[in-house]
Amino acid sequence: MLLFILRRFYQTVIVVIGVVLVISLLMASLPGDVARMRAPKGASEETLENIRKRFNLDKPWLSRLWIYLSGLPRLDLGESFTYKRPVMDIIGESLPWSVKLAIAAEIIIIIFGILAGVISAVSRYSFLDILVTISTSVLVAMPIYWIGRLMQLFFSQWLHWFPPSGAPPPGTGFWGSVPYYVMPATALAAVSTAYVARLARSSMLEVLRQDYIVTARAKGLSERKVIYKHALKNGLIPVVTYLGIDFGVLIGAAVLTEMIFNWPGVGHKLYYAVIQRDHTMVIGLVFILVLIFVAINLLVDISYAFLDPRIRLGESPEVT
Amino acid sequence: MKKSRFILIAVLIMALLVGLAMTLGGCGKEEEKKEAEEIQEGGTFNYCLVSDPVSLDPAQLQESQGIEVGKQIFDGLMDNDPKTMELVPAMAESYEVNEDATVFTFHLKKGVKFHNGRECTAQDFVYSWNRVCDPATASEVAYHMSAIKGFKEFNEDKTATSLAGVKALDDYTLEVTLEYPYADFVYHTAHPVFSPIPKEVVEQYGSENFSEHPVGTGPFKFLSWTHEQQIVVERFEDYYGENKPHLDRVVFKIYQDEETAYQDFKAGALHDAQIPQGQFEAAAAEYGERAIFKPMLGIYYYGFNMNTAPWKDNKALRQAFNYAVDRETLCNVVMEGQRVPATGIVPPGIPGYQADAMEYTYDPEKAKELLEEAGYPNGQGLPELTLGYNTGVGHDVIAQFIQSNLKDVGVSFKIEGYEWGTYLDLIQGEQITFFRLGWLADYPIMDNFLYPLFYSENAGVDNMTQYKNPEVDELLLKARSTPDEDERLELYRQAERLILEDAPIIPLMFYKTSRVYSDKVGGYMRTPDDLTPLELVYFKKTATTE
Repeated sequence: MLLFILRRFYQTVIVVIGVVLVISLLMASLPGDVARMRAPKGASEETLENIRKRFNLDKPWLSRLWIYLSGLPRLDLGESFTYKRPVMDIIGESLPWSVKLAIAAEIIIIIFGILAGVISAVSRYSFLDILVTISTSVLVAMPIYWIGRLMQLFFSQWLHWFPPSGAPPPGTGFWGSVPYYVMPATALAAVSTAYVARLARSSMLEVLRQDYIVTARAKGLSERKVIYKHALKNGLIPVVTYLGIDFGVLIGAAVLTEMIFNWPGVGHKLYYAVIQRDHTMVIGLVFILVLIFVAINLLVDISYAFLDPRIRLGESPEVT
Repeated sequence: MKKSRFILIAVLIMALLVGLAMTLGGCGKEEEKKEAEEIQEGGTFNYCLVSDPVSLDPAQLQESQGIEVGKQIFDGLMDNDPKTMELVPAMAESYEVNEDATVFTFHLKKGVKFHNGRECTAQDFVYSWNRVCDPATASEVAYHMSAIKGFKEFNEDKTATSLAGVKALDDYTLEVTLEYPYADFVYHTAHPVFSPIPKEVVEQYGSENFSEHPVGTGPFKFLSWTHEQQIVVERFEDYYGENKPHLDRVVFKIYQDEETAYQDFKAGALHDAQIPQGQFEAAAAEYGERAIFKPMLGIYYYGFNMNTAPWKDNKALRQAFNYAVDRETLCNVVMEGQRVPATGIVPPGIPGYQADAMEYTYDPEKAKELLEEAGYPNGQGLPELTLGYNTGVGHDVIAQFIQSNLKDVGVSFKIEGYEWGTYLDLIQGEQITFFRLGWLADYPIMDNFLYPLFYSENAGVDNMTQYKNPEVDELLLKARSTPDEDERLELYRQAERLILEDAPIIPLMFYKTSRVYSDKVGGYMRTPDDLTPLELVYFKKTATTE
C-alpha cells in the first residue's frame, strides 16, 4: 500500500507539471496583447510597459514558465492580472466555498441517489421503480441553468423560503447558513443524483443475481439482512468510484451553478480568468483543481480495499 | 351685504385660482413629491454591484464597479451635479484660475474630516496626488493627472521625486500649476483619483493594502470587504457635505452576472439592480418610473482607419457610409429602444452638447450620390471590405444590421468577430481598418471626447482612426486654453462639427443606463455617468427596513 501511494505521488507530480506546462503553453499561444487588454483607456506606452514588467509578460514563455514552476513548491502561484492580488489568496478565499458546496451536494447525492437506486432495484418493475426511472431520465435531461432559475422563482420569489442567491454573509452561524446552501447544492446535485440512482440500481441488480446472495437467502436470512449486509457493500463499489470522481468535478466544474446562485467559488473564477486572459489565475486554479482531483482519485482507490476484500491494490483479482 | 357678497365671491375665485395654480405648477415636480414623502432615517440599502471591484484605492480606481463604491467613500475638490453634471464645489470652497488657464488656486473648506477623525488639509491633497503619480504606486490611472506640471518628470522619466505643480500654500489653499493651458482641468478634480487620503492610514497598512482599508472624506465610511461577496459602508456622522446620508448602511452585494442580480431584486434581496438585456420592456411595464432608462455619457461608433485605402483621402466615401446608416431603427428596434440615436460625437448631458452637430440622417439616396462622387457608383470598384468587432457582447447583431443598411446602397462587406485582445492588436496594427469601438467619458466635458479620440498626437493611443487635422488640433488646443466657458464651448462645438464633416467615424448610438429600484426607497436617481448618489437615497416611512 505504501509503495502504491508513493508511486501515485510521483505520478501526481508529473501530471501536475504536465498540466501546468500545457495550460501555460495554451494561454501563451493565444494572440493579442494582454497588457493592452488590461490597461485602462488613455494608458500610455509607459503604463503598458509597466504592466508587462509587473506580470513578466515582457519575458519569453520559457522564462515565465520557469519562474512559475520555481514558485510552486512555496505555493507561490503568482499575482492575478485582474485582481492584482496573489492568486493563492484568491484561491484561499474561493476554494473553501466550492468545497463546502460540493460537500453539501454530495450529501444530497448520497442520500437521495443511493436510496432511490436501492429502492428501485429491490422493488424491480414496481410503481416505485418506474417512478425512479422516469424521474432520473427527466432530471438528467434538465439543464442546471433551468433547474436553478426555476428553484429561485418558486422558493425565493414566490414562497420566500430560501435566499435567492449568494453565500452566507460573514458571521452567519451554522444553522443560519443552511438556507443559503439548499438551492445551489440541490441544483448542483440534481444530475449526479440521477446518475447515482441509475448506477446504484443496475449495480444492485447485478449483485442480487450473484450466487452468494442466493446462498444467503437459502440460509434463511431476512431480506433486509441480505440487502443491507451482503448486497449493498458490493453493489456500491461503482457508486463510490463515481462519487469520488464526481466530487472533484463538483468542485471545479460548478461554473453554471456558481453563476446562477452567485456563489463565490472557483468555478466561475476559472471561467472569468479564461475570458479575461488572466494567465496566472488560470494556471493557479487548474493546478489546485488537478491536485484535488488526483488526491480524490487516490482516496477512491484506497477505499476499494475496505469495500471489497478481494481487491488488493497492485494485484489483479483472481478470476475464477 | 352686496359688498360683502362680492368680497366673498372674489375671495372664493382667488382661492380657486391659487389652488389651481398650485395644483398645475406643483404636479410632477420631483422636489415637492419628495417633500410629500416621509423620509425614514436609517436602514440598510442593498446595492447591486456586478463584479468585484479591482481596488478601492483612489490611485487604482479605473473600472466602474470600483468607482461606484469609491464615490461613496471618497470626495474630492469638486463634484458634478447629479442631475445636470455641472461642476459644483465639494471640498473646495471656491477656486480661481489665471488668465491663460495654467494655474488653479483652490480654497478648501475648513473642518472637513477624514473618516478617522482627522481634519483634511491642503497637504493631504499634495500627498495623495503625489502618491498617485509616484512610479512606486504603479497606478494605471495616473494619466488623469498628466496635465499637472512635472508629471512626466516624476511619473515617466523618474527624474523628479514629486509633482512640481502641486503646492499647499497653507492648510486651506492648494495651488495647482499645469504643464500647458487647460481650462477644463478643474473637471478632472471631480474624478475619484484626485481624492485625498490620510498618509497615516497608508503608512499603517502599507500602500498596497490601502485598498482593503480605504479612508476618505466621503458620505460613507468603509466597514468591510468580503471579496466576491459584499462591501459594507456606513454613514459617516461627521460628513461635511450638505446632503447628509439618510441610510445607516449600504451593502454592495457583488454579483457575477446581471441576470442573477435581477432575480434577486425581484425576490426582494436587493433594493436596486441593473436591468438585463432583453428585459427592458418587461421591466418598464412592471416597474413604471422605477425602471430608469437614461442616456449615459458614452458613444458607440464605427471607425475608419484614415491611413489606409479606401478611407484615406476619400471624405465622400466616409460620408456615404454615414448617410446609409439607419440609426433610428437600430436604436428603437434592434436595441429595443435602449440606445439613443447619435446626433454627433458628444452625447446629451455634456455641457456644450449640440443636437445638430452633424447632418447625417438616414438618406440612402444621398449615400448613393456620395458613393458615385467617391468613385464607387453603387459600391462598384470597392476593394473587399471587412467590418471588425469584438465578440461576446451583442456587437454581431448591430454589425449585421449595418451590413444590411450598406447593402441597400450597393456596398457589400464581410463582418468578422474577434476576441478582445486580438481585436485591439489588429486595429492597432491596421489589419482591421473598419471597426467598432465605444467611449465612456471620465469627466462630463466635450474635451474628454474630442481630445483623446481626434487629437493628432493621440493617434494610436485612443485615437484609433488615426485622424489628423491641423485645424481641429488648433481648435482643441485653443479651447483648452480658454478660461471663459461660453467661448471655450463654442470652440469645442466648432471642432466637433469639423470632425463630423470629415467623417472619420460613423457615430451610431449614445449609451443608456437601465436600472430599477425598490418601491421602498425614495431619492434614488441615476446620474448621466451611471452612478447613484447614495447620500440622497432614503427609505420611506412605510417601508420596513432590515
